[in-house]
Amino acid sequence: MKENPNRRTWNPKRPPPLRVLWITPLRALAGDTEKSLRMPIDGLGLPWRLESRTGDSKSSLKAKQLQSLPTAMVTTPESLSLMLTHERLLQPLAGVESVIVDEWHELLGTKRGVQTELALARLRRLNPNLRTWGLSATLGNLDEALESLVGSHSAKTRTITGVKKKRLKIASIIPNKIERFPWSGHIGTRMVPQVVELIDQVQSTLIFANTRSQTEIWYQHLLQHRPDWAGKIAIHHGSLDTSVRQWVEEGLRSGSLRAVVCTSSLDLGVDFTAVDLVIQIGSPKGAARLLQRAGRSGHQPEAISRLEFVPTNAIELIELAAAQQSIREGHLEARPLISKPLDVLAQHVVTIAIGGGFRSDELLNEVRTSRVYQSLTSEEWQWVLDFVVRGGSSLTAYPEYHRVVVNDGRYSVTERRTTTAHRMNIGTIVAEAAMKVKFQRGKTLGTAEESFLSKLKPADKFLFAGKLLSLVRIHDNIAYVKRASGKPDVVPRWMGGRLPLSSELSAALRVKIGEAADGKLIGREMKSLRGLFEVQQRWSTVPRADELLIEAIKTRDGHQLFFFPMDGRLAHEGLAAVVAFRLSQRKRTTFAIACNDHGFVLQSPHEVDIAAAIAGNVLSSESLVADISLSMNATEMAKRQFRQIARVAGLIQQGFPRSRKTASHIQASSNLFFDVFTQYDPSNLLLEQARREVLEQQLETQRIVKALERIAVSRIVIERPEKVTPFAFPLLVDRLRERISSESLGERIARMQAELEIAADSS
Amino acid sequence: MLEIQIGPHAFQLLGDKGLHWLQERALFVADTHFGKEATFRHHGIPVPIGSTQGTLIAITKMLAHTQATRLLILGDMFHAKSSLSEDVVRDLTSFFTRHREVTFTLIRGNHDARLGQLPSAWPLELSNPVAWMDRIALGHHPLALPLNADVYLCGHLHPAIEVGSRRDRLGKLPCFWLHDGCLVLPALGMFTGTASISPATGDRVWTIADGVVQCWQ
Repeated sequence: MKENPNRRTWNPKRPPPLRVLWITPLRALAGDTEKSLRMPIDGLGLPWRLESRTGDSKSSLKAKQLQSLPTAMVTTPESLSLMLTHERLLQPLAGVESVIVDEWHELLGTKRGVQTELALARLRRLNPNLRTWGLSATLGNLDEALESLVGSHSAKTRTITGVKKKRLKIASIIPNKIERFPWSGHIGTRMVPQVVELIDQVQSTLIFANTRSQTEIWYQHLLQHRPDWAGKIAIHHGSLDTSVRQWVEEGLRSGSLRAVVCTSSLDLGVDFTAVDLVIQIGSPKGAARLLQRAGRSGHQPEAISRLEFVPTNAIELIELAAAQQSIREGHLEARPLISKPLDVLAQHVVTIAIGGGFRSDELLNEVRTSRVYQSLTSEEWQWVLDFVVRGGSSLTAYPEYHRVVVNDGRYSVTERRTTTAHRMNIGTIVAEAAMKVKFQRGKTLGTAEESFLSKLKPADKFLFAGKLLSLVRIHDNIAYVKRASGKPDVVPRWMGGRLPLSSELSAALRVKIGEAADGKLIGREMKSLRGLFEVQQRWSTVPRADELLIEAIKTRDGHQLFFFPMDGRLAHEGLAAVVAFRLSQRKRTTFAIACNDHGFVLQSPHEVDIAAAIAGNVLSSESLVADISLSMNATEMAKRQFRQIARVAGLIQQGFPRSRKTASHIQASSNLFFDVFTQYDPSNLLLEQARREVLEQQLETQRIVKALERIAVSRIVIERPEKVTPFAFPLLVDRLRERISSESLGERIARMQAELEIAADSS
Repeated sequence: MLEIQIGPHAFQLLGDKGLHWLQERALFVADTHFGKEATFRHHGIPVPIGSTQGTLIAITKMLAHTQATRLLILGDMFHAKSSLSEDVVRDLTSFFTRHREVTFTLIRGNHDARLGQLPSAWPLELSNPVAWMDRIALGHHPLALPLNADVYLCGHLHPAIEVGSRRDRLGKLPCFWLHDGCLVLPALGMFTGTASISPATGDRVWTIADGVVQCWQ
């Protein structure tokens, strides 16, 4: 506007060329974003062309955009990378003055974020004066988020903090009778009446559950309690068909839905009219997450954000108290970054080779301006070049392979086939082996994991998309279903997505429990747990923050060792395996293992002298990585991790130029690739990356190291309670869960609980 | 190695995934998919060399061990037309040269249909399914037992058995699968996948783990 102050010269028929790029993490959000951006453009009467370009855009629009890009464009990281494969778009992209990255906290620390960093480095190379904006929720490592966004060479940066301290009201629904013996699982549904009451008091509610199966269960319970809410409440999670999700989102927007039960699938998405109330079922796993979810209510400035927490076991009430304290003190989680993944870099290098080609040193310099690759060594860079040019390092050159060719020092792609295949496979999102769930004649309900559906037999009844269905048959990778009545046999279990308790919240939890040990019970949640802490103290110990509690209990099933490091499930899995491995080295025995966010249990048929074992350095951080590899099936884990790497590095092609029957000739599973590489090219750096990602991401080795270092300076408290303590009970149930069928589980738990209640009252 | 009896015939199941028919000193293998890695490379997917050679080494080992005078490949010898790359052709030529005393037969499979002309110097006899040796029928795709056959040998499925409980998956083991007189051989190729089978009662299954054949059911 500064350049063209005279409005009369503005001509909407001749909009200016591309000036602004808006990157959104979800293509489903592109439409909303476009709508919101159109308002100020229309309001000011700007003669701008505003369009989206995502995987959902019509191909006619995309073709038109290749000829002439709009003035402002909403796009996704994948579509932006795709644009970089078109040489003719480089010139218009050089004209971009501002790039805005929305919801940066969602991309940060993921491979999609790395992909975005590389694309931004490219845009800055095309226009060194590019201005980068990032929108992010509050994070514990905003500095790193900023540097990742603008690159390591950026001179001027500024952080703008939005409306500060929106008023926040977080409360818990505390059951009238606190179970002294908390157990995890679908216990929370006992709170359905209270939740119904809360929903009834307001116009609109979002109910967050931690897993997709939990949303299905809660939706059913709410409907059973209030059949008149049929059509007024809905369910929303990532496995549902896009059309179903869009209908729900529209219903939220228009206010026709009272309540939606959802997973993190609704964590994103800006433009819902704020709901009146947010309900969180089960542990929020992190303070930042709790805060963000609370923020989905009372979206307007001045409004109060209201969140009600529904615990699924009593220890989660301590977690909530800890989270509230963290929020008050501003101790929010940092988003851990990932370090220079070579698979994403290899993909980017091919992208640039297609989009006009490059010279090695020029692209290396450009890539190093991104934060994630600033420490990329020349050797690593050379390996990536070798990988795309020859297949492997120069010693293991792969004959007749050339994805990228070198001519006079210039790297480019000449084969049309390579270009087409690469464009179809850009991105880092790995599609799970999933199967469509569909009515026999009619609409698609969504997708569920193949591993779940293939175990069902015809006529088996299961909950999905809020409906009770029975399987008719499976044909051509589609599960045909019909409506059913009665009770479900199973609820689908979706793999993954089970976040561990954040390390920040874990630390806060240890502090809270430590306060309780000193008799300080602050806040409603903590006060309500007085009875539980009393029993824990009487039968064993309530550990202080600088103590590690270990309980050795003999039950009918064998000798149990409970450890409570309170450091999140993933770290506990690694710790449990290492400790069990080291103990079994001292004396031949077998352990069964169970873990949760608070601790882990090792069960063995033989008694273990734990005090002596600790003196013998069972909890030492020395040779940890070696012991992890020995104790866990590290190869199997690396194989699983290799799936994403194989897909990103272009080994597995998810989509192929259509109508080509030969495509099946070049499909192989990532397992097979892993085996072949291990056998015939063991120095391949992608294998190394898989092993590293297992240690960093699947096992959170850094957290294990920190936990062991903390334990090294902690006082170890070993108790031998006669009965299973309140802290230990959820772990025992988890272990049972792994062994016996879910039908008798409820009964067995009820019986154990009753027995223990009697013991607690009489002792 | 495990000896089994099917009808009047004695066979040896080999840990390297071949089947040895003692009476005729014939070695059967299936789905070698030679040059599959070359096809992948041809399409711009980096796969290291070595798996074709690895497969040939396995056959050489079995020929030496059994002293067989005939090798019959039950289909899918090559992966695709582009599998006949220079290095693959060279490796096979030298393999044939080293085994002049053996007669080689390929029973065509679905992957061999589009191969075009094979090098004329190769001493490889081509045959369409169903082929016969005595009362043993040979093919690629599993079929109902042909009339007058004691047993029908084939491949194509890459059969494997899933081992382990629901919680502790121990992975898949390639296997021989005998179903209604139709004996399916495991895929020999080093760069081939497997497909899980669900054997019926009355079927017989032999798994292979670390080169050892074991009776599964």
